[in-house]
Amino acid sequence: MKKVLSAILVLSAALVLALALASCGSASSPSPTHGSPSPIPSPVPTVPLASLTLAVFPVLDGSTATIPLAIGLLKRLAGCTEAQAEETVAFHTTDASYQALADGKADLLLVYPPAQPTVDKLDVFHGMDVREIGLDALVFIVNDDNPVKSLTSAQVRGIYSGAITNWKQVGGLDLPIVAFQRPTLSGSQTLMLDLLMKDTAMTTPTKELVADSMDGLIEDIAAYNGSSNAIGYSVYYYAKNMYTKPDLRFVAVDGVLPSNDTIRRKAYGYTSPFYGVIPLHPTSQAKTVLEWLLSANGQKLLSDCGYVPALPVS
Amino acid sequence: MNRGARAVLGPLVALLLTGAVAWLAACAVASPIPYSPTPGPTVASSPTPSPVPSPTPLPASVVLPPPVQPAGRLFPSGLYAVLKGEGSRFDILDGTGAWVQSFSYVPWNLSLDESLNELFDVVGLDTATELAAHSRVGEDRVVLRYPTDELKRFGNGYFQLGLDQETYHAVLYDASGKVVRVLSFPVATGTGVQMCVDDVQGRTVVFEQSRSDDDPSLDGTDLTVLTSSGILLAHCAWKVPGIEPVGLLGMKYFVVDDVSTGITIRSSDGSTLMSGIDGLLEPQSLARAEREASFYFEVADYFLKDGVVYGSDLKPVLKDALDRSGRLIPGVTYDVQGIPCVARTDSLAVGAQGGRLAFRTRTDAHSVAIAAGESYLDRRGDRLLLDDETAGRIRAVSLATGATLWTLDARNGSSAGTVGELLFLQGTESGALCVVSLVSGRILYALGGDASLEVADDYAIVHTSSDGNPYGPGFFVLDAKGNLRYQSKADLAHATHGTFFALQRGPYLGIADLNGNWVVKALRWDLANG
Repeated sequence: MKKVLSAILVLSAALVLALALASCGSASSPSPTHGSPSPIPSPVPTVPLASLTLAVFPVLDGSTATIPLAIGLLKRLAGCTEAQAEETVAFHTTDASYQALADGKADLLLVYPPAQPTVDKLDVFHGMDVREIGLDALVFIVNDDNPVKSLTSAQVRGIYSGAITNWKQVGGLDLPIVAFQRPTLSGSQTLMLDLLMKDTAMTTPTKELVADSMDGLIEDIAAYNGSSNAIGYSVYYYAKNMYTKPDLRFVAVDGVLPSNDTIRRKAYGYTSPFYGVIPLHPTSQAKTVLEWLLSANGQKLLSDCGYVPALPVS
Repeated sequence: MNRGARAVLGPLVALLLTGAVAWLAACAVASPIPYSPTPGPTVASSPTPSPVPSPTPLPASVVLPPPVQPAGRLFPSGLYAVLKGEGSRFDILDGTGAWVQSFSYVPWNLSLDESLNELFDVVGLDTATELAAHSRVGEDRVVLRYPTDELKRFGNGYFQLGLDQETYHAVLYDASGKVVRVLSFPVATGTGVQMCVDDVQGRTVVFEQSRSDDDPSLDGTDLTVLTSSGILLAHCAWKVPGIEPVGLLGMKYFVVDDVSTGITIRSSDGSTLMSGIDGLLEPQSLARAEREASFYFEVADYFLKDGVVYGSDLKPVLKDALDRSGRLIPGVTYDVQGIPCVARTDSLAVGAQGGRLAFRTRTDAHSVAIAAGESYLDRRGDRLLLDDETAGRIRAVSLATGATLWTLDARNGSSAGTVGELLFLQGTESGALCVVSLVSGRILYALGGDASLEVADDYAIVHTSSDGNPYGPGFFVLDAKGNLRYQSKADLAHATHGTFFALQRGPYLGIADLNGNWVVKALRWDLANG
């Protein structure tokens, strides 16, 4: 009996979604490429876009790198000023935002792929409606003075496993490599583990004391410091648009430099989708906003904000 | 670090105000203020009644064009923006918005609350001198005279302290890293030495103090005063066995605090020049330069004796005198349109005579008298009065508005401040704040409940930080003409230089203009590693 009901629900939801998408004149939703996504549309009606005021706008959360997208979304759909949009955006970084959605504290995530423990704990790709809205990539950054322009995947893996410790080993100067990592469960660390390191163990990261609002001073993974012998990694959008320091340079991996174009064409090897995520039983507003993001206008907004949209944008 | 903002809500030292009180008392006898009782607080018996909050509604923010910056500049040259970077890093940007340097800093006093206000001690616009508390542009290019001695920063440049074959040395560098002076201090074996270098009102002071447990004749205190470029201005040496000075007056006399003689001003040979001193006026402690210092030494240009402000010439400071930086001298009298005003802070003097109140600000640009009992009072139905609680001695200048009494109170350290055309008065018990136009005499804003104030050179930020305030937690920014330029109940703000303030709004922390538009911004520290 349960199976029959589920099938009816799935069919009904698919019909509603198809109609909704058709009414928006949008292309069909792209398929997530991570895990085993379960795009089970919910039988929840959408609402007119004009009704999406700030007061009823779905609570957004997600990754740091999607903050500009959230602000752009609030300005575009809720008619917010820049200041209102910024005051509204309260993001809790990648992994915590999945938990926020599960806890009902967020209605819609704009988010990078979750870490495996979170996938397991929350059953993200079956227990949530995960849609690919854009493409990003894991990128490697060095100081502009570093003569090394390109690394192979094996070399990067060697650096982060500790097998390669001097830039001279990869065609650079005779300097020890200082390889910075990212915090555990951060979006970029998840990509690093999933896309590049896979089963290869990473070295112990450099630590530093940092200020933490909850715990005072804590020892955390040291942030990339941009020194001439340093290497770090991040997601492309963040590194390109949100880093304060101007003297970083992307390293080509396997001969391909990351750029909007190489990421869009997936010529760069370490691309990854980022998602719009709603619960399986979302609010009408959350569903409306996610579907708009997947529409031509929504994808155009991503492009205007500097992201690589999941769908071609004319 | 305050970066140009003047916190004016700190308590005034009662001793300092003795002169002001005395003057006000005399003033009251000579020129009583007309006072016609009307419904409201009974100030004669209760000079500072608990004000009943009667907040004026805040108007909408006014967006005005920010001052035009030279082409290619976001903020004036000579200032640096400090933004939070990733991890423990802070980034320094120049006036064009270009990154110039980073430094690592972990706030040692970070408390366990979520306000992150501690970061505002670092984030903001800094002069090069202020920036020196954490970093100095070009620091990595300084060529060290003594490679093994730590290079330390101070307001005028850098210095190194060290020991080389029983001779201590102090190497002074200017802000560009060039050595401008090397001082040597031969010290006998077995003598303990404390040294520090600090900037005092733009001058460089090198302090050296020797102490011997075995031979008091080896004890001594030595201060060398130089310009920032290393030119010798003064050298003061104290070598009086058994007596250790605690301060230096006017870069020439020593101050001794002894149980038997009290505080005295002495010459270098130990002879007493003046006794019965109340204390140094607004001294700068040299011990602040060294966190683990075990010495205590203060430097000042003025002192108090019997409630009168004296200068380093050991004579009372003349009326209308300014300090070497052009600021008012607290306790000194200033003339405003014939009305004597006593400085309560280095930026505000207040006085009253013949039914008029007068104020002098740091710039003297808005020294005006407010008529009492005349147009202002009649127009608003409010009362301006002087409280004469005790035997005719006026202790407070008060402004009554309906049921609320706003006070500049000499006893309780009531606080006030001015910026441009604005005067801020604060209720002593409630913390309620009143904003008066010095031009029109009108009350622009009356804030019930508690409020605090940050006064910068060209604007002020009023924080309503408690739920007890009718406005709730939040802040608003007033420019020098009283226009409400930006307000928020969700953001955090901190005063900084010029027409800019440090702002944390949503995911960003940066520098905004008075309209709340970003000039430079970075991700809030806790998001940068996401």
